[in-house]
Amino acid sequence: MQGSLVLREGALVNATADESDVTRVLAGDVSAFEGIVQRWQSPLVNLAYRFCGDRGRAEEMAQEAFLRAYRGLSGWRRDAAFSTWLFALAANLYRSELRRIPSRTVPLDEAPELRDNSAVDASLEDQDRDRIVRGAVLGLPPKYREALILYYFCETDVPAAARSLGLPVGTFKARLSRGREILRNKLRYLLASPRLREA
Amino acid sequence: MKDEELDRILSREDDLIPSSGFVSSVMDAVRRESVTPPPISFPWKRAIPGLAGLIGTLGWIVAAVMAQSGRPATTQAPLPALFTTILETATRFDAGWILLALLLTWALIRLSVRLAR
Repeated sequence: MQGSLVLREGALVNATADESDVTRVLAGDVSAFEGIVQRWQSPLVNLAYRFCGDRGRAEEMAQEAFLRAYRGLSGWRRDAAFSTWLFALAANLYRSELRRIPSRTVPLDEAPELRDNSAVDASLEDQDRDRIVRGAVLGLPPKYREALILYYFCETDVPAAARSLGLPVGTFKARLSRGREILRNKLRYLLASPRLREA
Repeated sequence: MKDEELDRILSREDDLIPSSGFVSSVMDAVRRESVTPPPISFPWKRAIPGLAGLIGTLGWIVAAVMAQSGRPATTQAPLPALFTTILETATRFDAGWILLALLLTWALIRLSVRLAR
């Protein structure tokens, strides 16, 4: 309860700072955009990473998302949170980027830099299974992959994830459900393979 | 694998820390962008008379073809006869050149729109 209060206060502080920075940028102060980049660099890079599974490409895609946000800043109508607008713009860009150049298979030894140390202590088998599950998500057809990625990225907040993809909630739920079904079928084979059992 | 297990795995995905130069790299790109003049938008107001002329010419060609055939074009008209009429009319009015000019105009408009974006 206290945690969610802190989170809401944090979001409120961010929203105020975003609004103030946007106003300054629109008035001609380009340097004010740095505040926006500082605040949202991690979410945008991480969202891109979940789409493509490649660190370098994720940063390139996030940079392009920030550039597009800068160009289209006057298009933010302030009727929704700045973060909602920014995530929708970024998600849209990442989707079209991946349709243009599909993501490559991630080599198993190319693990991202970890922030959460508890993950290091997880058993090797669990790590392998988790990696296979995430890889299987990247291998889903685009519309289901996008729904699953946004759902977990938005911390299972269905309306927020649906807004980011510009979809009605019902359509989003249907894609989520179908995506999970395909994923479960895929994992039934992948997780039963002798390679994983040996690992 | 159950939904709860999928939720657990996909929710706790490790966070990437953006590289140290990421913010400065983005800001460099933003500053470059801010000094670049905005792209010139396509002058639709000026293009409208040309487009109207294009549509008018096409309409005139169609009307001329229909007048030459001596009856309104219907789906029941035998195709070879219709083609012969069209060819005769097209030859009389140098329609090949007109068509080429129209296609060229269309291609130039498309190119201008693409460059303006």
